[in-house]
Amino acid sequence: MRIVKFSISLLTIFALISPTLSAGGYEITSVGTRARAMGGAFRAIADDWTAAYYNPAGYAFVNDNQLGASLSMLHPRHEIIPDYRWGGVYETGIFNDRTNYNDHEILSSPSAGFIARLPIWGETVFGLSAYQPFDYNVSWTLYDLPSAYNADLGLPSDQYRTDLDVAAFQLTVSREFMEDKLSVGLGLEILRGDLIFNNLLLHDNPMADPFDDRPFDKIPHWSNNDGRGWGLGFRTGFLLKANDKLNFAATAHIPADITIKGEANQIFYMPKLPFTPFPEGSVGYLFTAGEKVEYKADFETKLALPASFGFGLAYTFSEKLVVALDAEYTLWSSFENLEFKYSNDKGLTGSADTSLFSRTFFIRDMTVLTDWKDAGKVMLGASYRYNDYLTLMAGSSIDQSPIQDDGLFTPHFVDTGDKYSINGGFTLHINQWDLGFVQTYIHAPDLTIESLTDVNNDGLVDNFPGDYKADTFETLLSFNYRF
Amino acid sequence: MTKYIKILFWVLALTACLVSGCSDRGTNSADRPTSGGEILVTDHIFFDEFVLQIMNEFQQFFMRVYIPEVAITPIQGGATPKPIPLLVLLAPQGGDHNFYFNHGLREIANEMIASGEIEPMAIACVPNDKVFGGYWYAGDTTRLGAGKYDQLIGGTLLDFLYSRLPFLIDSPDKRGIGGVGQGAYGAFRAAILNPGQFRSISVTDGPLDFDGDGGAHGNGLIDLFPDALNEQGLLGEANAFSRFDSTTDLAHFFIGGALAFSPHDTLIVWDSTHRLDFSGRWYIDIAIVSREIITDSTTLVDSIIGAGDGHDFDFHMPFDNAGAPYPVIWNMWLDDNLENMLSNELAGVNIWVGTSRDAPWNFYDQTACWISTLRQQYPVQVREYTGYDGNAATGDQYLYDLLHDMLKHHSESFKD
Repeated sequence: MRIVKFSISLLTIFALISPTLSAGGYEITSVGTRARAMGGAFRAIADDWTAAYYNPAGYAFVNDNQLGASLSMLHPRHEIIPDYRWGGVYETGIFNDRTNYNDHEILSSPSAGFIARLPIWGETVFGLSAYQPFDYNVSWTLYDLPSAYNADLGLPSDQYRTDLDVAAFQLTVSREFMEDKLSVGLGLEILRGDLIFNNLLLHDNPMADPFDDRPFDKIPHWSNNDGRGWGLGFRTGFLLKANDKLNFAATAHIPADITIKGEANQIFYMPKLPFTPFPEGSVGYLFTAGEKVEYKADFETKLALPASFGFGLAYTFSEKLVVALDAEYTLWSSFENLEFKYSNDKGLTGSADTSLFSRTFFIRDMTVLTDWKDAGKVMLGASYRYNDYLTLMAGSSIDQSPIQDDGLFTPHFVDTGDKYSINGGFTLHINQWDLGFVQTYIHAPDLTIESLTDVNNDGLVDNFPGDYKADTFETLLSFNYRF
Repeated sequence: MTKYIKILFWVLALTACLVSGCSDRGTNSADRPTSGGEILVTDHIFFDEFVLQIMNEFQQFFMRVYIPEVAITPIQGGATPKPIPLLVLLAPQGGDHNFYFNHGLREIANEMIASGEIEPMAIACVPNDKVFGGYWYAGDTTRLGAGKYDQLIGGTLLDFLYSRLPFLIDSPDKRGIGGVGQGAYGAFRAAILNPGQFRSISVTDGPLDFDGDGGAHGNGLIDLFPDALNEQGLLGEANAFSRFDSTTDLAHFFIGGALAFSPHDTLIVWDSTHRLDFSGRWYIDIAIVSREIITDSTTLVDSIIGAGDGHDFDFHMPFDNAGAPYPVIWNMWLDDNLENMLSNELAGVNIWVGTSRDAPWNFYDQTACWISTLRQQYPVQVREYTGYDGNAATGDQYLYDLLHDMLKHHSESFKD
């Protein structure tokens, strides 16, 4: 008993301070109660339906059929105090020097799985599961048209928004190769990607002096892109039981890029001079009369999904206590940008449509530079079977941010650095049912982005200066039915 | 029992985390003023001032005045508004009566008044001439083609505004003037010619020292003379002044100045007759009785300006066809150089100057020279500003931002 108490204490301390690394970006690891409560350190345990996500090889050692589901409710509680000024001096319409919160929203991420031991090909275990390997959702209201620019129009609230969901529908196959020693698993994924990406772009006013004088020097453009696409991927892994106490595991996840296609809504908020000298219907009038120019277009972009490789070990101290340590490396460098190509525009009217000057201004592709870097992830967790009805879990992790270029940091992906997470939860065992609850707090370091940059010299700012805070709360509920 | 208390503790702790992580922190939003001042049309005919001004047959003067809400609301309710100060702003070359409003003046004033940054004030926006460069807000009875701006800006214009807007405080302590470019020159000129009439001046770069300092800050307008000829391909041409074109900005700049400082007609005697036309409206016909002219024709431009019958105003350029100062005419300009007009007229006037190295036409250097001259006698508040990538800091480009400082300067001066 002393050893158990000592181990729990040690684990708790280690969980709170250990500098584990975990992939950040738009990966999500909120699948299953036990795994999540253990900080994601589950590859070398993988003994329930969530093994489809953490390590498909774990299915081979599951001795019963299972039906399970979990629901993660994520609440990013981010903050930005912008310092977004032209030349560091001139106001832009961004809500500078005050605390801005991301739009309030509880984001849900469901997952579910089914394991069946079927008498096919000997000891092969099959499973079907659905989960979200990638999910990111944040939306910001950070800008308003300066009164002197145009007091009559207003922008939507979701000016900067990333709503990225990739759902995986996975068929998992796992088999033991050395009885009770080694298993290998393979999961084939069909990936469904959904993307809503809103961006606020401030374009140089193409009009000549004095019609491009401040505050009319930039023309705001709200770009709303809503699309979807399909792709394939696979997961694989092995699980080695070295002895009665120690397990080793290794995994790989290799998803293919998804081509997202959809429709874009483009709105330009034109300058409103109190007294435009141009006649109605002219190009000059269009750029000085404060109208809203709106059109729709088809778009296509490539969503790069990173491959990742993981390693894990689990040590069973006793029948009650298991401790696990995982590491993962994610190749985020494949995510270089989001390049939106537009075609088949419709809805422009009048001089906005007929003038080459206007069309050149309004119709343009959009490139969102990201240039992410590969990132690591280490997780540590413990599970303690308190009695027949209750299992307690705790864990911790640190996620390394793939966003390491201040010149490309924007509110679209608020991943400010190495993130510490503290996880805790429990599972109630009631007959064949396991009911789980996990609460997670993810602390991200404060980040200051210093100045506006235009990395690719396209005349558009590629970052968003300001002071960032990026804490996140998460609650996860689950059930698992064994039969 | 202890076991269940522990479980309950953990459940409550986790629930507390859940609740704290889910509270709504509100939506970010801008603070737009819900109401504010309005722009009042105050067009007027100043007959005597513009009787022979070229291209202004009907002596019209188009002007707009910003009236703050604190004055509008009582008037609409039939009450007498609280008296407010007056600020006069002069537009630069090519800027009309809407110039300042098209750079955000109304909204800036509304926001600053609403936030308490400035006190409510009326702001009269005076136009510059679109065709000839505005005559630099200079002119008197010897220079009728430009109009009698010396009589107007610090005199009859104020009389008109105080009669039209009775809620203005008719006191020099509650009156300011400002301008951009030629308007900056005009503001200082009006303050110097009307000592004690203005409590404060705010300007951005302009032609404020015609001949510079001859040193680090150059030679003022003299350095522009070759450019004015070069842009028309006339430098060194024997017949340069008979071919002088008025279509370029720099040509406008010098034509406006020449009409104000070196017009061909130096004294005009005129007469008027009233005529009733067939529609029943009265017209005033102007006839020139006699005129005196500059007899030296070396730099005379006599084939470009025509303002209708009997109004053929010609002018002399201050430089010769080699782009060098032509002393006979240039000395006339120098008589109107601010430093030569200044003795002690600006005592007690609070002065603010916004200046940028990107200002056109050597304005930065001229402004620096003028600041140096002023500082020999008066304190001058200076804001040197720069632009950002791709947007040079000319006075017009950043006027929207400078107006904040200008209004604040006047407001604080009115409080003194």
